Amino acid sequence: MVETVKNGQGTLVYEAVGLKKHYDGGKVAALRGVDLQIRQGEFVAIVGPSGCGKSTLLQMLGSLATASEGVLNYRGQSIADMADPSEYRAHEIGFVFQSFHLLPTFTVAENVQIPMFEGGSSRAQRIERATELLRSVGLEHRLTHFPSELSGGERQRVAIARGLANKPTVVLADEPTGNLDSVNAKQIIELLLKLHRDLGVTLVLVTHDLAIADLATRTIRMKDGRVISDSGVTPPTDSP
Amino acid sequence: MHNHTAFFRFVCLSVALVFPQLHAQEAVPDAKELAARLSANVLDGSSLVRLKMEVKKSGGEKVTLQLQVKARRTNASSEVMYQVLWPKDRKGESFLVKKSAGGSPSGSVFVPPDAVSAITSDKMKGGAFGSDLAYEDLVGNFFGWPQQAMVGTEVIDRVPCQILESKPGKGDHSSYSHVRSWIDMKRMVPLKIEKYSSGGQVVSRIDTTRVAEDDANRKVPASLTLQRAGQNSVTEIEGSNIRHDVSFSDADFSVEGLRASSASGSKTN
Amino acid sequence: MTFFTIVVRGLIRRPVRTGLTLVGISIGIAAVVALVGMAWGYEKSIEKQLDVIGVDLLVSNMSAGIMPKVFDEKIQEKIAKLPHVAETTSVLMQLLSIEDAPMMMVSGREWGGFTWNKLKIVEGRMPKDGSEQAVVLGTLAAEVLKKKVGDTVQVETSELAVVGIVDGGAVVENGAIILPISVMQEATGNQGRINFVDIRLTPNTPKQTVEELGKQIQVIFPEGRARDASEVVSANQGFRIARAMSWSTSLLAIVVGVLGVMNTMLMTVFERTHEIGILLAVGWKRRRIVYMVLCESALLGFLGGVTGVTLGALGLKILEFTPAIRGLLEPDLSPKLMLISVAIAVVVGVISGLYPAWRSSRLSPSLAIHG
Repeated sequence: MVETVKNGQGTLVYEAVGLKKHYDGGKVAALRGVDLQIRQGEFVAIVGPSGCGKSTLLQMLGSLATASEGVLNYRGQSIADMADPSEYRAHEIGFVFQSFHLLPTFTVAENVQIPMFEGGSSRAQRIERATELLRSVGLEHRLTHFPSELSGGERQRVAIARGLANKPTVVLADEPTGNLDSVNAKQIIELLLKLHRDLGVTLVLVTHDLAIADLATRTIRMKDGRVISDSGVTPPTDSP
Repeated sequence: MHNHTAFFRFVCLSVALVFPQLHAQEAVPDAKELAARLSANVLDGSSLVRLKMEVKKSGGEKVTLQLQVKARRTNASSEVMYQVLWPKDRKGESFLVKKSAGGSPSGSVFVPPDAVSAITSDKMKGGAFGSDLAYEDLVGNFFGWPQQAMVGTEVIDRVPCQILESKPGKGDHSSYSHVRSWIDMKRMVPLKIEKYSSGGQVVSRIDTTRVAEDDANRKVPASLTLQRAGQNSVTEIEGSNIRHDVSFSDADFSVEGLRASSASGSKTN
Repeated sequence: MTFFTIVVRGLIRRPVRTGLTLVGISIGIAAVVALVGMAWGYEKSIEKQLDVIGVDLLVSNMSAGIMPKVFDEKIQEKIAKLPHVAETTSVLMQLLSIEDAPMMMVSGREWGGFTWNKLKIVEGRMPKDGSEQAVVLGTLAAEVLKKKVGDTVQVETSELAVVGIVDGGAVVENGAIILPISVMQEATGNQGRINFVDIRLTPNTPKQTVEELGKQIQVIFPEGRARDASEVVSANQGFRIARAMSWSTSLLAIVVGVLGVMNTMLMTVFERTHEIGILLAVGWKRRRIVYMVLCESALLGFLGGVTGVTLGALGLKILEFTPAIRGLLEPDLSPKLMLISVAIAVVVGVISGLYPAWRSSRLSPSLAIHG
């Protein structure tokens, strides 16, 4: 299942050309023209100071925000022109947010099941899949707990399990360790790496932590809404 | 549908407001002609009427009578017979008034078991059964008098009326100098009648309080309020049923007839 | 967890607000149940009168006046021969001025006809036969005329003995003087004439056949018209006013309910902007979000409806047994009314949820997550 990817190899997943985003009628520019290609199986870290546009770029990749100008394709199809972007969000990608974004009135198991309502699965299938996912992130003993009863690290693991609910091909993580202490942060990163390795998901991770960025197969640096460097070359990964 | 009607009414009203002249001019009838039509309504042949009469004295005392009326009114003569059906203790009390064209009225009062008295000419102005209804009014037909004139218009209870003034001829044997009636031209019904003495005073006043359709689909005054000058009472008459073309015999309008119908429990036909 | 679980969670996350909204809807629906129940009760009491005497069709000539015109009683025999007519009975009913009372309904009924059967003797007896110079008085009529058994009553030209006081089971019956038709015809000088033929149809006569029958009656009696007993009820002015008033008051209550639910659902949507954003981010379709909000408001309506119906029914029962009202009010608490009320509540819920649902579907997921 593992696809070791070198730059310039593998199927093209994302392709951005001249991507721009501005707010307030053009006064505030978040992205000032980004060109980018991401291929199947890559682990891409996007780094840069706050306000450099990295989160905006990630949201665009996830179809949560639209570009003001330029083209952004997912597997050759323009995201902006998708008839139903929710279809894409539900089945192609999984989100992991800095502040977890779990639903407080639902239990851990229920939170993981929420995306599955778009999958057409039965109630039993949903429960089984949620349990399996939570086991894989080491939370099988927390199924009936509410998010408020969990530690930050545990919450993020629930969020990761939720992100994987509908077996996405891409996981988009926005500062997943930003709200965690170093111990928990390390565990989360290891979990993400493991998923990347074991499931072969394309992982795009936004962070300002260079230590984490070093673990990626590719690092893109951004500043003032532009890409200032792209490591391009993938360091060797521990393939089995 | 409803809006339609309301709108139509609004339009009519607006037109009437803008062209009041036109509206008024349209309806100036000929007095003679109008009187003749009304007279024909009064001389309606034979009729059997049921009515309730309430005499209210100013002291608050009230007498209620249920009455049956048999009448035969033609151009040649008028005969009217009133009979009490209720209350029980006055049952059978009755009177008869007659008048032929050109003659003076005459009549008799019958009180069971067997008291008969004539209504003399001075009593003709008096009230029948102690009410404000004068005997002579029952057989007089002022619409048939020779002098008729339109003397104005007035709105009564939101109904525009033409005022008709009638004056008797020598042969009419009336105690009134003239009579004014307020005619609702649409329904051909008098809504108010005032009868004047030779001194010009109102002697008698009749107000129509309800108009109904009779068995021949004619509009007729169904409820009346009667007042007479010098009397501290008001009489209300409420008609409940009228039937025309009833076959009466001459004997019905005789003293014998009064006796007979009183004895028979006042059956008709 | 099912979709319904999500809907329920949405409501119980704010128990106080949901509770207050429920109280609002319940009061509205309770008002609907109480007012409409009273109006229907009124309607039913009129219907009951017709039902009591078992009339399906009334034939009369309503061309003029308040009371129908009289016609030849031979028409009854002809109508009786028509198919599907199980039984007929003739009536001569008139509004008459009786003694010093206001106009009163006097109903002469064919002796032995089915319209006599349901009269319950309260005092005295029924007339001995169809020619006895006697009447029975409805309880209300007896009160108005101040008569008791043994007195006499003057009906037009006849002085008739009061032999009984009866309970006709409906206000209209109880306000009437009831007597054998031949006695009525004699008293009013209407020998051989009637003004109603009441028809009882063979059981389960289909509606179409009833219409057909109406046409056949028209042929026999061109001036007359056969009217469905229920049609007579719905044409009743008093009933129409009562119904209009109860529905308009109810409408007001419903509008208040709509505003309450709408407010709650809008608050919910605003408050859950973030949550809705998450749902959108994890791939929920906007349609599903709309559906969720609508289901929540429908559920709110449903719960409010059920509580309201219970409250309204309870209120009506209490009213019914309040001494001042006792006996006058006969509320109709049919399952139909309860179902309609709950249905109204659900519809109210859905309608009030429309705008909030639309708002929620317009949310931008990224702004919702960050905002």
